[in-house]
Amino acid sequence: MIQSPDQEGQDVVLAAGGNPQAFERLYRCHHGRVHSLALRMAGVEWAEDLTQEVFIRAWTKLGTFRGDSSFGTWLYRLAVNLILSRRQTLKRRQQRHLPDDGLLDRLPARERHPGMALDFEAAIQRLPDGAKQVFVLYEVEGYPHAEIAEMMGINAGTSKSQLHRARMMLREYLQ
Amino acid sequence: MKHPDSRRFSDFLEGDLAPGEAKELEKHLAECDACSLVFRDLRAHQQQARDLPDRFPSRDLWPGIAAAIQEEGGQDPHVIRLHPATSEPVRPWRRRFHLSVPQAVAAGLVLAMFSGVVGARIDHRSGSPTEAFQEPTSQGAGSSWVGMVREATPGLEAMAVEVAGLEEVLAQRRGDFDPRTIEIVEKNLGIIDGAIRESVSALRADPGNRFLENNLERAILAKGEYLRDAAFLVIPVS
Repeated sequence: MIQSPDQEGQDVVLAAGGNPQAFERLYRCHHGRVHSLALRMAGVEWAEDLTQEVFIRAWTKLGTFRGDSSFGTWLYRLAVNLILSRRQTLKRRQQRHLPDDGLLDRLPARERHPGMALDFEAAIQRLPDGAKQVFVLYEVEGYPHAEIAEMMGINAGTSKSQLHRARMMLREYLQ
Repeated sequence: MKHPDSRRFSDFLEGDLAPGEAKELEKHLAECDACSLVFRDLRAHQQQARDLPDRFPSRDLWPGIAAAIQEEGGQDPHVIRLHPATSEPVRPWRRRFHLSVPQAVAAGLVLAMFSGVVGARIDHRSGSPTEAFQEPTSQGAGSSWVGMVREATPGLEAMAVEVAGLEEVLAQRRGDFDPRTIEIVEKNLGIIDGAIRESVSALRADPGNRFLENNLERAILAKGEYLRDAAFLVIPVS
C-alpha cells in the first residue's frame, strides 16, 4: 500500500488525534520496511514482536512528531532506536536458546559448489551483532556513519571498521 | 607487487579516498586480478544490499497492535481516562492549558481567528468534516459540535465547552491574520474535526463504548493542542 505525502500527512494528524483507522493505514504503508529492518538487525525470531512494539511505541509518540522530516523517516529512526535498545535483552534470550554462541562459526564449512552459496540474507544473519547492525544500517538503510555512531553509542571510526569487517566476512560466507 | 590493505577497498566504495589515492587504487585494480576479484565482490554485495526487497511478516500483525493501542490508550499521558463521576481525575487537558497571560492572549487570538472557520466552514476533504457542525449559530460557532459531544458523551462537555467558548468569544478577529496561514491551519483543524465527527457517529451507534469515548477525548485534546501550537506560529498581518 502506498500513500501520497498528502494522504499520509492527513493520516498522521488523524492518528495523532486518536484515530486508529488512520494509524492502521500508516501501518499498512510502513510495516514491510519496519519488519525488514527488525528481521535483519535482530533476527527472524524477534522480528514480528519488534515490529509490533515499534508501531505501539509510534502510536504513543505520535504527539512528538513535528513534521520536520517525513513520517517514514521519523518512524524508521524510532524503529532503529528501539531495536538497538533491545540488543542486550535479545542477546540474553538468544543465549538461553543457543548456549554455544560460536556454534555456527565452528560448524564444518559447506562443500562449495556453484549455485550453493549461502543466501545473502542468511549470510547477513551470520555476522556478529555489531558488524551486522552497522552493515544493515549503512548498506541497506543508507544511514551515514556519523548517525550510526550516534545511534549505537560508538564513534564513527568504529562504525567504519565494523562495516569493513562485515563486508569481508560476507565475502567469505558467500564464496 | 604490493597489495593495498583491504580497508582501502571499503574507503573507495564509500568515496572516502582522496582523488590521488583513488586513482592509484584504480590503477592497481586494473593490474592485479586477485585484488580486482575481492573489490568486485565487495561492490556486488554492496549493490545486493541496496537492492534487498522488503520482507513482510508471516502473519497480519495489525490485530495485535490494535489491541495493544486500545489498552495503551488508558496509560497514554495524552489520554484523559474516563472515571465514574464520583472521582473526577486530574486531567492532562487541564494541566496542559495552564497558560501564562501572554500565551493565553496568543492562543485566544488564534482561537478567535479560526472560530468562524471551525464553526462555519471546513470542507476541503471529502465528507466535509464539519458540515455536521454547521447549525445556525445564534448560540455561537461552537455550540453545534459541543451539542453533539454532549449528546454522545456528557462527561466530555466541559472540555468541549472550553474550546468552543474561546472560539465564540474571539470569532471576529479572523481577518487580522495571514490568509495562507489560515488556510493551512483550517485544513488541519478540518481533519481533527473529522476525527471528532467520526467518533461521535461511532458513539451514536455504540453508546458508552469506552474505546470510542477515549478516541473522542483524544481528538478534542488534539484540537486544543493544535490550536495552542498554532498560536505560537501565526503572525498577525501588520
